[in-house]
Amino acid sequence: MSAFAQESPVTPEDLQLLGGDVLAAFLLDHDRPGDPDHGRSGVLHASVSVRGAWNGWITLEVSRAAAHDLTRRMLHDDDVDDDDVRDAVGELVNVLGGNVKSLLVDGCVLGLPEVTDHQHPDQPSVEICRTELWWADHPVTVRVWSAEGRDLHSLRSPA
Amino acid sequence: MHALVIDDSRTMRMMLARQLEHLGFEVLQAGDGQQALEVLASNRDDLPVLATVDWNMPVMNGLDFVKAVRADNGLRDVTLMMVTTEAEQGQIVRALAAGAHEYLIKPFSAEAFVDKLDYLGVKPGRGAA
Amino acid sequence: MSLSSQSFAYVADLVRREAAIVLEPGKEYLVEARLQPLARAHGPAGIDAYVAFLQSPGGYGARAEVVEALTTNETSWFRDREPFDVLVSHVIPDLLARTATRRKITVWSAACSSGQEAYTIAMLMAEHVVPRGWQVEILATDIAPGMVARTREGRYSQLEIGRGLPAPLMVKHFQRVGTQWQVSDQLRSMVRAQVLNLAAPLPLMPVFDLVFLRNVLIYFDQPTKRSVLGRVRKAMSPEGYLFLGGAETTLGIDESWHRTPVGRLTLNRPGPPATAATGAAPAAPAAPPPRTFSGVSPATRQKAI
Repeated sequence: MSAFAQESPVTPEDLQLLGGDVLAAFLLDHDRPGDPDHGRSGVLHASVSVRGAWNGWITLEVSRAAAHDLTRRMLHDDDVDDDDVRDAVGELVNVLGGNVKSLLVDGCVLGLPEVTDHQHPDQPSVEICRTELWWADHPVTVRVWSAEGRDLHSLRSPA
Repeated sequence: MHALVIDDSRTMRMMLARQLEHLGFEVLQAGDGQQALEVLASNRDDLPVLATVDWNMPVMNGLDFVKAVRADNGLRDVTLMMVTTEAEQGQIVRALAAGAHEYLIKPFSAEAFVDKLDYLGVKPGRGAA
Repeated sequence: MSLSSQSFAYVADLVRREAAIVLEPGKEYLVEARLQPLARAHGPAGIDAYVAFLQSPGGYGARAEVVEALTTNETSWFRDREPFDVLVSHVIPDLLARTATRRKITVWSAACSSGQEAYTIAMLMAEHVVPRGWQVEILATDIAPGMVARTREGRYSQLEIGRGLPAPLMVKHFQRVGTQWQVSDQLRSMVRAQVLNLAAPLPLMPVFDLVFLRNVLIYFDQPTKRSVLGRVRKAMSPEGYLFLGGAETTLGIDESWHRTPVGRLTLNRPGPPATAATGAAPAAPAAPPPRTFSGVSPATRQKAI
């Protein structure tokens, strides 16, 4: 772990609580998870950046199978395509990121969510907090990353 | 009676639109503040009574949209409700000071959304002729 | 590890009896999701075994925990709204006129749950009564010690705070602390919380000008309703006001109350209304006016419909 990493704004317990609230609110928590299509393989990586007095990312990883099931429930539509899934997972990380950001000092800025098939973030970073939520027997991994070392400064917004 | 849902996430627009349609609104949608101003401009004769406004969006963010609406006297009857993940107290105060009437933090329950509409008095069928 | 229909039926009945909240069939997953952590903490035997334990004589404390776990986020601020509109339009002006000498108003929020009703009243008092130099004391009571502790603490999650609390009042009276919202010292200093069983003789209490006893009587049988209303009446000033829940009435239970309709609401008073009662709020119409707040928002609400 780098000596330059910033302190985490959240504890794993906070992250668990926030993540549980997000899933509960979006998915109407009386819904039972469906049986995800196990034919879908691979993992989706969603991330959103925080810039300002604190620099880093909040990321979410979820299997494509569970992401499809989540999206169907969020949209109340059985027929969802890949774009729908990416948008839904992006919104989940956006909401998580905003809530994590709100635990930091005022004045940080949240970026727009990105969803890719590969690990985020690309930039040098250190994982500083992590929790696992579960959806339909699939882990939904939520992590907080601190920008690392000199990037801490280069990332800092000019304002 | 129209409502306008402004959010860059299609998922969130669909979720809000679904709830509003369930309450009896006809729902218009926009993906950013600029698009939303265009929707309002082309609906001058039949303005939405309510706009739900996300904060972080490309092109024009929600706070700038609220300021633009408040600067236009012809749009004063549009009730503005921020629906955003921005959850700091300072941000809420900023949005209210800019002219938003209500503020709902994501995630929220369906009941909380209806509670806010009820408080704002913008439910179709209630008081409508 | 899933919940049997018998277990669901028991839990739904428990929550209906204790918290006036109806869990319809179809909410099994909600119940299961909220009970799972409690069941796990209790032991490895699973959720149905935990529900069986709840039904045993030793399960009293656990039953209170279950009710709390299932009713969090269900209690809203300004619940039912109309009583609070009437409080501002009719009752507060009258009480201000009647208490001009002692300059103090005492309120009882009976069955306060996690405190939203007591703090809603405190917000309205802070707005309409305290600035005139009046002192306000609100006693919040509940039979469940966990609820009393929560009221005393005055901390609410994001989801709880979102239920019915207008944003201008939220930023005015609450401070964000971590993931929660903490009620201001001003409101907290008005509210005192204690455990109290309405069905038993009452302890020594102040004389109340205002009692909120909402959605409680529905859970008692007729004789108990009568004795609860009798005890509440003795704890009130003759010129005080009693607010009941939307489905509750003193009619046909205790005929000693004086009932005054205001809009769709009925105000119950221990004594006959004096002439000053109507004189105190001369401008108030029969129906409550739209609610307005002088919050932090400079935006003036136009009536949208």
